[in-house]
Amino acid sequence: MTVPSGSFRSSAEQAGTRRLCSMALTPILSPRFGFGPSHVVVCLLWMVVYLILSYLPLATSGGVWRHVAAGEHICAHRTLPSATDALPLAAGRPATDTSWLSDVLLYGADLIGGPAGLSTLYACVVLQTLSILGAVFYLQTGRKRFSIVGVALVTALGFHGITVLRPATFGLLCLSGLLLVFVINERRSRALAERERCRGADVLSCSIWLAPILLALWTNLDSSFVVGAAVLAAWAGCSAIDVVARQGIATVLEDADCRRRLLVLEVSLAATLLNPLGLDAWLAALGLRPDVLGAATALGSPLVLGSLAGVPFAMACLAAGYLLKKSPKPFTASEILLFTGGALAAAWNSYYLIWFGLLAAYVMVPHIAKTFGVAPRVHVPEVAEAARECHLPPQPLQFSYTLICVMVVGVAGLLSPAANRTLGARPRPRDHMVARQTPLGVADWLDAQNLCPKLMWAMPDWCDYLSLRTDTPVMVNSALAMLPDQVRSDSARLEQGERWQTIADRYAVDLIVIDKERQRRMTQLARRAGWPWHIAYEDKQSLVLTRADQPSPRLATIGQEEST
Amino acid sequence: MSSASHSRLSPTFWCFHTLILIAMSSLPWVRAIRLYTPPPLPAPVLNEPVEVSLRYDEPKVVTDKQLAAVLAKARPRLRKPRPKISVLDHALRCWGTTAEFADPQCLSGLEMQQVLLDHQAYVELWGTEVPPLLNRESDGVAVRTLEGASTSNHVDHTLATLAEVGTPLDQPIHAPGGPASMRDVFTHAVRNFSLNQKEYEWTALALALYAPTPQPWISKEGQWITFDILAKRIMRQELGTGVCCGQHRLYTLAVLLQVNESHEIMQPATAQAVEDHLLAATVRLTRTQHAEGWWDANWSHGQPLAGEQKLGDRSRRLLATGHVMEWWAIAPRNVLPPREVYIRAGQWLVREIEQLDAPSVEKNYTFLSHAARALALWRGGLPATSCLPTTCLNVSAPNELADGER
Repeated sequence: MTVPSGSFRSSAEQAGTRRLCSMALTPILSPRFGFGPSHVVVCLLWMVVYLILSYLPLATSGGVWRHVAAGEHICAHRTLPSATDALPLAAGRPATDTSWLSDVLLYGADLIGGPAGLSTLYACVVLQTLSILGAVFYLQTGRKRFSIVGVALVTALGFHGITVLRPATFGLLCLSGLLLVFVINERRSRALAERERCRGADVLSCSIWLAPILLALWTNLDSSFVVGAAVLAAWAGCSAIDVVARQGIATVLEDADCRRRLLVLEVSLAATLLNPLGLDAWLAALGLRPDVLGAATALGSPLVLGSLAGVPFAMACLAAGYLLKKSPKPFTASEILLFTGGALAAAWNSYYLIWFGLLAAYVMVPHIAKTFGVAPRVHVPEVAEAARECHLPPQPLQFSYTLICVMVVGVAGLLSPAANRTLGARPRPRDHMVARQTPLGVADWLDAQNLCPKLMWAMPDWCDYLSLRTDTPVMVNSALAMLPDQVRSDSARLEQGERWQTIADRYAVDLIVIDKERQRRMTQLARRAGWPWHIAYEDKQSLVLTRADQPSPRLATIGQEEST
Repeated sequence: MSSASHSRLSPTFWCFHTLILIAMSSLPWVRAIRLYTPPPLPAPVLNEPVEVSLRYDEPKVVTDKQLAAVLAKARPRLRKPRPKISVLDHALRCWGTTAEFADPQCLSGLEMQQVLLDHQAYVELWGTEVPPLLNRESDGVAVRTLEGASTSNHVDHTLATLAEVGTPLDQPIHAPGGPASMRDVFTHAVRNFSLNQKEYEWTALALALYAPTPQPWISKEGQWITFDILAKRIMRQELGTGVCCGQHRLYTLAVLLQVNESHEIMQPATAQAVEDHLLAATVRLTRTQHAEGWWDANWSHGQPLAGEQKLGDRSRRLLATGHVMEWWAIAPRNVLPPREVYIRAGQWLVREIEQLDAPSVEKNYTFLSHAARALALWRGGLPATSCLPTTCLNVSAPNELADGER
């Protein structure tokens, strides 16, 4: 009996299934939930990944603390942060916060669980991203092993991007969601086309209309939404190219699918305007505004092929070349455009490497599956499968692997730091939750001293944390693009200890936090500094110089007389 | 939908949507182009700079006779090869463009102005071996600065000097590349201004005198500049730090307050903050004044001077005291110290300047020019107008005056 795949079954078949099942013991769960060993392996792998992500210390390089501070400002004032809220020296520069929703989410996580909350949020978002990607690759190939290969490829290409919590982490989730929408739409469209062909109607899958919603959400989460818009444009535009290649240019104008894709693209582009900045969000994303808080393009530099990130990139390009030649499935225009566009963007700015990783895996995984001769598993028709299972004698251990999967998930949940509070376990030490470079000692000291410095200088990533913890105005932070050029260059000189007292005087910096590991010269100079500077605090990691502009005894006396 | 209807709709459909896509993709670029319009100059720009008004006439600070003696010492005896441009700059600022001297060694005000604004006059004094003082650039005329004795010694000091002596923006200048005007010098300074540049006091001063407007303008770094932001930047720095013991910043703030009275260039809160800042400086000065009436480089804290000082005791005290008296002379009364404080300072300046011999005058001329100008301002006039003919303008032999003084 030939039964169409999917959920469409004739009433006669359904009745037959019911009859068959009534003859045997009916399991409480559908047999579909009877997992096999491969499911356990995947589940185990996923939970190991989750635990690793949960225990990764929060890296400071993504400016996570600055985003938390911005989120705090947004929640407190119901407005987007201005330049001077974070950086007094950026006064007069209009600020463009392109990640307000991410900021609020990060602040919420920090509010609920502190660094542990952020760590859990990070683990959940990244795991969700990898899971969705796994689903995408599975739907593309029908094989779990290629799903894992795809996820491994993404991780290898975008390792540096994945290990840091920042608004782009939410952007990755959105892109994986968009790819899932594409795959689902493709499958449904194919199924609908099969059904509707006999009626002569156009094929339409509603799932694609999730794309504009996703893009609207993405625009508010991170400026990387431009990647999503580009992917959508490639998806829409290249279908036209494929039609032209197949049927000639005249047919494009009449191709219903092309028209529909164009509409989706337009609605999606319009949806990107649904953000507090409107059109300026695009300018910020394209690097046309210099005043973006945490501009994406400022985060990276041209990719070096000899670097740790460059080697996987080069290997992916070589692999793509190999697949282009060997794959039995021809590459479509959109696949070529997505791959080459992503590769060029990554070569121009290593920030885009992670995005390239996703797109490269999306393009390459189906071809890998085809090239290595593994056909997608043929779905056994459900009725036939049910009938087969119902004829079999009851298997007491049918759900044993399902149970093992549940146990694995449960154990992973219990082992994760998120369970500490629930189980009343000892909280994870703070220095394990944040990156080793985070200046915890200085922050504690500043808190205890109750100092009110006029302006503090520290390394930009340290300033993010110290500013959040101590509410101290800082000379620089990781939003370097916000600062005037002069301040940036002076900060760089101060970092190296070059004429540091003059620069500190010019900006009225009265507290300098030195990273002893990264600022060896400055540390030496600080030890030799004379009045009015003195070392107020020192630990293994840092050294704090404060300015002692205390009035002389004579002045103090006169001051007291006046005040009386 | 039939294929025939598709055919009819297709051209319209595609034209319409192509237009939409073009509009959507071009909008960000249109906005970006608007954002990247070259930074505008502050507007409106006055042709004649604002004149700083003189508030006080205190004979007890300096008597007419004392003033004449002081001003005689401060004559610009610069008719010699290669006079330092910084000295010439200060001399012009002290005496203005109308001053004329009987002493043939002295340059008149106009001659001094000409050296600064006419390349030929500059070459006559400095020769052709040194690069020109004025350089024509794409965004105006730059004054060579901080490159030795043949150049200005502070960023935009020359521009501020010319503004303070009333040079209009349409004043022709002769740069090596051909004729230009003062407006080009001003334009260059404004277009290259950075709020945190090495020295911003004089640019702020020139801006207040030539462009007293509350409207913002955009600096080369994309910052919206207003006088509120300028004032806050000036006040950010600790008292006592910066050029001339930080006194130039206080002078600029005093000028901003004056200009604000006539042109409302600052928000009331900022103006109040400026007054408070000046008052805080006055309080410190009152506390740290020496019994004889002078201040030193440590005026802001009273601690012993750290390390080796570049200048001798007399020079430092002359510098600090002369500058303090200068900004007090134009500051509102409510930021002034008790009367005896500035009288004591004025009299110390008079005594000290009287004791200066010719080499010391030459060595300390820039500080002396500030002190002499300050004393003249305290008598309600400028040096050129305060000078008594018999003792200053018509003096032809400086040694005679020196003997007479002795």
